[in-house]
Amino acid sequence: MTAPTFLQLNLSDETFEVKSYEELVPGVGGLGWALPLFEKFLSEDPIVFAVGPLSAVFPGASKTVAVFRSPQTHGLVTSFAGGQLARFLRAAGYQGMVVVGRAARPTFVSVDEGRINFSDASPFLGLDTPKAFERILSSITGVPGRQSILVSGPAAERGLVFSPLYLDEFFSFPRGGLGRAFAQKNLKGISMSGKKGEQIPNARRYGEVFTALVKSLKGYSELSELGTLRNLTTEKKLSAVVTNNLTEFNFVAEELLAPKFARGLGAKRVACGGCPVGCIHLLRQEKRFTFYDYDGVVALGPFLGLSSAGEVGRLLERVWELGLDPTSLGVILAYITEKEKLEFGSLETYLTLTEALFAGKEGWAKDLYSGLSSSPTALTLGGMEFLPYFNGYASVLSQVLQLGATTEENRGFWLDLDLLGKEIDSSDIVSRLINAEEKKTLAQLLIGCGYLADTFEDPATAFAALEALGQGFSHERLLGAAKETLRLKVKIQRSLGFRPKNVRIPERFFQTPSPQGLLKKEKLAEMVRIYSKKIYEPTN
Amino acid sequence: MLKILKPTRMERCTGCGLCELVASRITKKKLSYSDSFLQIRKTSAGQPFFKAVIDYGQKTGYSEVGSICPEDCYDVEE
Repeated sequence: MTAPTFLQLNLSDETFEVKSYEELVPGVGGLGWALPLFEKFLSEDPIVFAVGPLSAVFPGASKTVAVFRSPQTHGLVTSFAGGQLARFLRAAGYQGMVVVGRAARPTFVSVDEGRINFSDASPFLGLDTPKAFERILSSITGVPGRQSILVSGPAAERGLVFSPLYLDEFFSFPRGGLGRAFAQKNLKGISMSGKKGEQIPNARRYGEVFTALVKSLKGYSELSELGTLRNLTTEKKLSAVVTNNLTEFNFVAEELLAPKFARGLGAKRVACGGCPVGCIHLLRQEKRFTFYDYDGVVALGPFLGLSSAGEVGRLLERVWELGLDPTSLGVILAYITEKEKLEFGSLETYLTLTEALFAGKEGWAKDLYSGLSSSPTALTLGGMEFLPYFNGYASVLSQVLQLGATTEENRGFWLDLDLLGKEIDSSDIVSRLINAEEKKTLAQLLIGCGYLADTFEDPATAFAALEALGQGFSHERLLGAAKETLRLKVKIQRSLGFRPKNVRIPERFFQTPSPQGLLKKEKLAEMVRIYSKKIYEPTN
Repeated sequence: MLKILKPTRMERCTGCGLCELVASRITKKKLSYSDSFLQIRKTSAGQPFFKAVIDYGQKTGYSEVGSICPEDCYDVEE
């Protein structure tokens, strides 16, 4: 196997280096490359992006992982995004990128294979996110759609720590504040382009695996048609949709369910590079297209008591313009609404609060720039706003342990569904969650989409695809690499000061019914203890 | 009769680019999104619509390129 090549950008002195890492070969790819590089450059506050060996050359292997220290939690965050970044990183000749240092001026970096240009980003500052994309696209050379563009929004510039990084207009690196991490480096954005191709080591085998993957991905037609918002229907059936800052449950207006939402507002679907599923759904408000997903709709809809698709659409659009994270914002708005005894379910209230929060002129708003406090009604888990649905122990535990800040990454979400109606002891839940995490990590080496887990968590698929590319990893080596990567993730979490037993779990999680009944505080604490003792503390 | 690839339903295109990947593999024996007779481009910034730019100076009528499209955007016609 060829050593992966990374582009290293040093913003402090506007220099770059291209470096191949032989020592990363056993890590397979993706997270298995990004974590060791993050650790290697830790003292330089790195942001590491990585693709995997299958990225952009096999259907569905479309994601890029970003590993960084969160401005919000100050701990390790892994965030996954699709768009066209994986494809153009590879076409530029890189398996990833390491960004270190802090620029002296607002900076935009253009990468076209070996041609790297650091330029003044001042003209792009202060613009709404969609406008920033338009301005950047009109200022760079090349035709639209033949490059990938990363941009932080205006909220990141203003200092809101939970601001995500957007890419290719309709995609994002969600949760943990990668947009803010860019802004802290005075980095407004990056464009990536290239035209490189690669020879196929085993063309016959490649064709077989390619065809098998296309066939397998045709099984995701529901995801394609409804997008990730299809999850809301499942959650509604289970009475797991919570509202009004987790004070009530079983609230979902019919028009927020995926088929009706899409019929009412849905206008178009787009796909990540190389993915035939195309699960990114866009809504159209006046002249602008805005993307939506399950996490965003549930946070800005049911959790705030909003039941109109049009109202949720308006809020989503404004959030995207301001460059905010919809999941984080939904939980924050719910907290303010309860604290200030405002009325849940009022769009005008939420739009006003969002503008005031963004402006940061008043003390309460400025305080929230750094995220929610430890107030009993501030629903955070592991330093981040919780995913606003309530399936049971495993989905909460996964967030407490910082193993899944999006539904795509939160394996507890699915595990809880498997556990419904079963009496499972604490130790078993922890074991099942770790087992699911190891399988997830295998897919994150490759890097397959988390929503296509059934395909990419299968070692046989991984083995066959890697073999076609001339990379002979045995099943055992693949599984070993996944375990080692998870171990390294935990080790870095630990070195950055994260301690599961210290995570505050708001009392409200034990007062609102879940599909598994009322969660017991002691049982959840026992799970955290078991994880700490068996997994976390032995990791050095 | 010469067959050609015609992008007849591009309003459906999601921009996945699998057609480019397959076209490169068939014609150049390479894994590439750029090195073939076919390129998918955005119609304009801010719009989720795409167009296919096809070099009809080369042979284009490959059924595999048309059939890989998950949205059935292409026809291969004589």
